[in-house]
Amino acid sequence: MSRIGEWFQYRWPVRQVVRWGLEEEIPGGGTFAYVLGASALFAFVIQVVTGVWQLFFYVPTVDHAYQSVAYIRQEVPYGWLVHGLHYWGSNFFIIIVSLHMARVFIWGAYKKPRELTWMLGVVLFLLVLAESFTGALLAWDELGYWAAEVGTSIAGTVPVIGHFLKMFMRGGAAMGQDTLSRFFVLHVAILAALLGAVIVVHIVAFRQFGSVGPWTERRRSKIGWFWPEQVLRDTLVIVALFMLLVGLCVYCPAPVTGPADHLDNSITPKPEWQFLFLYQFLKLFKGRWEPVGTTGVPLALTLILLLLPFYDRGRHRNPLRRPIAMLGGMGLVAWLIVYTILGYQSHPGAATSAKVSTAGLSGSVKAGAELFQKEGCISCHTVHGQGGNIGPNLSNVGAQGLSRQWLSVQIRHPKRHDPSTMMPSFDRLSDKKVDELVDFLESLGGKGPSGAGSQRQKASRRASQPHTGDAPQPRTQPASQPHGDPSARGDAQAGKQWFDAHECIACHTVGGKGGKVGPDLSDEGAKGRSPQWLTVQIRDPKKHVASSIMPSFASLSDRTVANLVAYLESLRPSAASRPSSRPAPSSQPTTLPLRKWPGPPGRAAYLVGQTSHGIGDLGAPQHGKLLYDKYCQSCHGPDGRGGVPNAGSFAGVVPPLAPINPALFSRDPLLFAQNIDRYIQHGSTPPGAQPAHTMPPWGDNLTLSQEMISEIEAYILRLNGVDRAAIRHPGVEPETFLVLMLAILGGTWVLAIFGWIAAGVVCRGRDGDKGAEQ
Amino acid sequence: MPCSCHNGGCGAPSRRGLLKWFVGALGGGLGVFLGWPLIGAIVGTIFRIPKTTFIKVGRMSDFPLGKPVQPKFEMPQHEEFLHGTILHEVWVIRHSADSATVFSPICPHLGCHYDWFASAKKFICPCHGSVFSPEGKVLGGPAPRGLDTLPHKVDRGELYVKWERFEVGITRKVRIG
Repeated sequence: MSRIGEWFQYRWPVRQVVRWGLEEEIPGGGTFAYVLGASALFAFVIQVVTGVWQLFFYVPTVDHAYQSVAYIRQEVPYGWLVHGLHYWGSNFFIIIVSLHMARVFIWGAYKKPRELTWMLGVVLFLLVLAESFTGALLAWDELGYWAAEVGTSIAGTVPVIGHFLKMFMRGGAAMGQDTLSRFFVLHVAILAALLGAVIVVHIVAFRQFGSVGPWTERRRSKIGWFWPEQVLRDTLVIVALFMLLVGLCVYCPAPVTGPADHLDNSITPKPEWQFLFLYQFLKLFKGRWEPVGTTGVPLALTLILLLLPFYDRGRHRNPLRRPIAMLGGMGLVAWLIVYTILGYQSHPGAATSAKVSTAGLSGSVKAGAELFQKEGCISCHTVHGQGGNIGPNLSNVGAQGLSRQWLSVQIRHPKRHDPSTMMPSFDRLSDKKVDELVDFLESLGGKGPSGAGSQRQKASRRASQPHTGDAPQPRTQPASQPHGDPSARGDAQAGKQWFDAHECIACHTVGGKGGKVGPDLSDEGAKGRSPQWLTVQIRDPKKHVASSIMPSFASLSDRTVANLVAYLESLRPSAASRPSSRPAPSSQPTTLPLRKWPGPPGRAAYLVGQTSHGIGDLGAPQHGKLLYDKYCQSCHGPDGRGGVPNAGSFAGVVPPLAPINPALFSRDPLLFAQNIDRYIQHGSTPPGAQPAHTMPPWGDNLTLSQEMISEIEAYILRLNGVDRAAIRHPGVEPETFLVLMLAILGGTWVLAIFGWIAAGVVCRGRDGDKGAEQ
Repeated sequence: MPCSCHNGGCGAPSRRGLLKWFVGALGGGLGVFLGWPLIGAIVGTIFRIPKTTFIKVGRMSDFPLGKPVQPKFEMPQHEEFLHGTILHEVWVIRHSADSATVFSPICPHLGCHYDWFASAKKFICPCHGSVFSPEGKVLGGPAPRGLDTLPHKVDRGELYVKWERFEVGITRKVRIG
């Protein structure tokens, strides 16, 4: 072995390189304060390893990028972990690098002769930010898409070269394939290679003069060694960091924001947390000052950091003797934190459906409140918790001591008070109307939403249910009864005799006996189907599924059909096999006899036919809810609870979506989404003589984009207790993995700490002895 | 050491200087002729303005009179190597049987999609609060110009629109796509 080693050593100086890397004297000895550099290096390695791994599965095209990332997260074994490590690792990378810079600043380690190390560090910091900006777009989800849209737009406001810069970043006028390609190449190749190269240069520059050590000469005189004194500390922190990252992957997976949709304006574009301070600060620069904010501020911040060693040339390194530098640094950090929080809390946006409460008001105040609604003031201003927040909140405006004169000028000529205001002028309003508005504003004196609040909520709840004006019809009272009188209860026993004696049993199984051509009817009574539905299914099965192969039993007497229906309704699974709350959902994925045979209604039949692009997309339920409330709620009720009358349909009401028809339900999210996708895409007409409401073909008639449909599907799944983002193939279950890791790696970690402390006690007095720590 | 031959003071070390100059010139030339196509490839594609044709958006009789509606329509899309269809939307305000105003749905400030607030009878952009009148005039907010109209025509009761994009953030309406 050693001969092989010598062979290499003769041709390539392995030993010297390793020695150069490890044998480094640290003035003042190793300390936990110095672990940040190594931690940042570790974060970089994690990003490279997990990033390259994802390239096995990721596709950088706009039509597949999102789906390939969802595939990594849900279908690839351990994909949840690798993707999660990359997501959380990127956030930690920024935090660690920032802390590393703060540490170097406090220690004064940027001063001569270490200026170049500091400047390279600032370059690395900018590269890390650039990596996080370009990486966010690659998933081609709502968040990344809109963050990149805003980011490139901001680049477009740079004087002179802005237009070119924006077009160059996007690869054209609009965000699209070129943008994704460019960001992809920057992220995985150009910026990543630059980052790696600059890290090497940064470390070489650092080793030129080594660690700066404590600022007092006395403590510097004690010398420690990088290997293994500092390396053990580094490793302890890195392992703790890794365990924390895995924990975050298990319990806080990266958010699902839904596929990018250029038509979607329900999302307010906001950058990621690391750019929030800038985003918030830019709001101070309006109009022609905008380029100052978008170009001047980032440029100034970069220069302040980059040139720090050249304008702070004092020889002191002790923070207490550098009061100006320390105050400046703390001021910068405080500014960053305050603006990040402000940016985080800001939710710019107009409120489309806010209502002004007029309850308990009278006279001109009431008229003013109505004007406040009618003129759209509420869209921008909040009053008692309702309204937009583009303009200031006016809930307390009456208590602010503003004169009537001031208020009416503000309404008529807002620019007289603030030339840069974005409030439109309401000069066209009559004196009387302005007076009424001012009366209303003056009444807003911090009384808060007292009794009126609950009434308002009730009112808005009423408004959201447009069909509940008349009492909802119970399900069992159909508006029309074309097939005899189904309300006459049949005799289940007689039905059973007919069922067993005639054709039914040849195709359908009940209680383990019967044919397999049609669906098993053993639990038919638990599927929640109405007698009308069953009657139609018996008499005219093609009405439910056009391609059904079940023969029609139109010639049977009403009596016989009623008996059969009664029998079918009596069929319930035995208590032991029933799931507790949900009415008989299938716990395993339904197998699809695709194309070969259309299958019976209620199972595979719904799955036959063209599927759409949308079902492949992993929708975001929270976003789906917004769309549901806008497009679906009026018929399917709030949160899919149904109950909205549908005269002329057999069921009498629009079917509820939560719980959904058990025939459509599946615990497998993809299958469930597929089952409901057909209805949303192509619409459907409920059985019945003349249903007042039919389901429109939302996809076919282009009302909803495929991305929007996938969001709504994810929301409907969540209403039924199914997580669209569930991990289908985890490898090892996340929690099991975490427990195993904590037991083995965490155990070793604890052991190492105790061993280290014990060794320190034993070997005290032998400071600086390299062997003592081993 | 730079060659000083041009100044007439050509001395003995000029042979090495000349060789260095050749290496530099050849290296520079190599860089130019490799860099030119590389940069040309990634810059050359970005200023292409696609040809547009009129696309059917919907029947005029389906749009209410005087009230903005936002129909979506599908059109062929040839984006680099991806050929398919894409969904777009426009704002349509019908004035009569055969006249209408068609606005691009993109806010001329920074490119967000604005919305119609029926209660206020205004278009408001959710991103930065630009407010526009139904005629597309800026009423407030940071938008530098009014809403962009799109070329359109009415043929046998059907509305056809040319989908175009304009540079945002500037006072002039400049077509970029």
